[in-house]
Amino acid sequence: MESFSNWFCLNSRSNFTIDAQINQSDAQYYFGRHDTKLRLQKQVRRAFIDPGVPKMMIYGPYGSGKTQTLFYLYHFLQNEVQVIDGSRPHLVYIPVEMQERSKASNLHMQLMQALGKETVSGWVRKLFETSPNLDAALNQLTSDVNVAIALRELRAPGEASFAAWRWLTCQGLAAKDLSQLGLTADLSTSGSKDMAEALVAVGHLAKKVNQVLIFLIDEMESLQNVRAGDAAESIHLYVRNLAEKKNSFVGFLIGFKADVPDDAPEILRRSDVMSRVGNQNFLDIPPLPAVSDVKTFMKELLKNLTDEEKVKARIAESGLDTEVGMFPFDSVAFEQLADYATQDITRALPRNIINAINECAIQAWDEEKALIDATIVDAVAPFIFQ
Amino acid sequence: MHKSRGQTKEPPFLRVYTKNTVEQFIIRYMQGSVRAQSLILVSPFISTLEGETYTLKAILKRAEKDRTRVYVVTGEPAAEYQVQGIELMKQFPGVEIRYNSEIHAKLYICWGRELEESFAFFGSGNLTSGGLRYNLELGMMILARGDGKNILKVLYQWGSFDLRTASTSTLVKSIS
Repeated sequence: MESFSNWFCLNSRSNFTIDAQINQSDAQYYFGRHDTKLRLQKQVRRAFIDPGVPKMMIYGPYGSGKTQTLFYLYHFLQNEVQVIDGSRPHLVYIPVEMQERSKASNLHMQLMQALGKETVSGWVRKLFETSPNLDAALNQLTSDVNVAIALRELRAPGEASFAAWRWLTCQGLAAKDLSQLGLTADLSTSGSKDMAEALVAVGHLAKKVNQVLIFLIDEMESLQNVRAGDAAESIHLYVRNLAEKKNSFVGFLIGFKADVPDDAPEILRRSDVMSRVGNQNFLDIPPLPAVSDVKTFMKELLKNLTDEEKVKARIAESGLDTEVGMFPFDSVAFEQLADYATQDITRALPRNIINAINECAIQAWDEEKALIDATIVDAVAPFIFQ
Repeated sequence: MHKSRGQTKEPPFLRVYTKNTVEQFIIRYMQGSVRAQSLILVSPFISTLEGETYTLKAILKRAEKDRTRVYVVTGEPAAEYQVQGIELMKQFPGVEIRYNSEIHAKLYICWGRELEESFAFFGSGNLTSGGLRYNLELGMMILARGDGKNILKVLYQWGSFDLRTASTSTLVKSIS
């Protein structure tokens, strides 16, 4: 028997799943949400004019496609927003993990480590190559002399460089190490404002070497785990400082799970954070609301994940009751799956639809059917959309 | 003490077990509140688990109650205890069974309706009393936390798609 992939004319993939974390090229796909896609593109483009970097919050229920939205934006920024004042976006995707006692320093450390010492060191070296006076150039990035000192140490390899990186990432330094580097305070015990300003200085450094630093921060619902009041407050201040309009060097696209805005982590929905980010930059990724949306999603997915020429040839050879964008469903089964998906609006999620397509396809392949028919959809869909 | 306690701290998404290995998965599934979307059982040998805290029948009844699809990939039964295990599974409409004569992997996945609810166990233990409790086995539980989420996705992809559609897998019973 033919392989599953050949049976359904799949385009260099083993099934109908899209997951940019497994297949990087899947980041290009954003199916069935044309209006949202345009809105995302518009907001991102506008953000480069004012405030200079995108600052957005993307939320929705589990399985609605938040992570795919972040990866799509990653793809969009990397490939379609190529030049911003001669700069290129430097994108860092990071699923954050916050615990009960996590503080701003934990979030800062995760962001910095995702960015990486080598990247920041490379930027410092590049600045050194293009500036007649590195110290003066670094001092222009920040009013915090300690941050400038730590960045300067990253230029050369060696122990001092690692110690400076530990300082910048809030890992804490012994008094002796601080003294050797000439640092007067430990960033890990400083306030959230100082940490945010250190990150903004790194973003400013990036800008100096023609990079625009943008974090794509996923799974921020883990902020709900933070229980201690002082820890939550420190994170709140950190996020608020990054959201400030004067930060035009570090962008962030934050994804978090929330069925409705009130389910968002409290830190992210405080009025001071919301007003700084701007209501227009809070984007809801809901379930697909109508049968027509589900159909569009399915059509775009099926069209893009299959080899169009092979599908056309298969349809012609066997006289199949289907078309490109509907194959491997017959016309009745296609409509039926869309109906099942929207019977309970909260279950009309891309994750469930993709799961249903895969399960229907496996059953058709098992039964050696060229197309998924209504009998198969009836057998599979209730399990998925119940 | 079921868990290993080495000097190296395990990451939060991973638990290593050196005793009652597969049983840890069964207990987590049966005693937890997760209403799984699918349960994936990959084990070359499967028995009815009679005499164990949770028998195969109890596990399948739980799945049936929750309307969970159960995907089983196992070896073609040779011994009587395997035949009994297969015959029992055939009685449950929500169970799919495939034989794969090349399977040596042991993988168990509880795939929740939300990724955070999901967990997987893989290691050396079969879904038999020996694998659950008596043999010297080793296994790892992967939880949907941090990097564990991606590991779970990869395991799910393999267990629920790649293995089921492998040319060496033969459908014996479909979900009805």
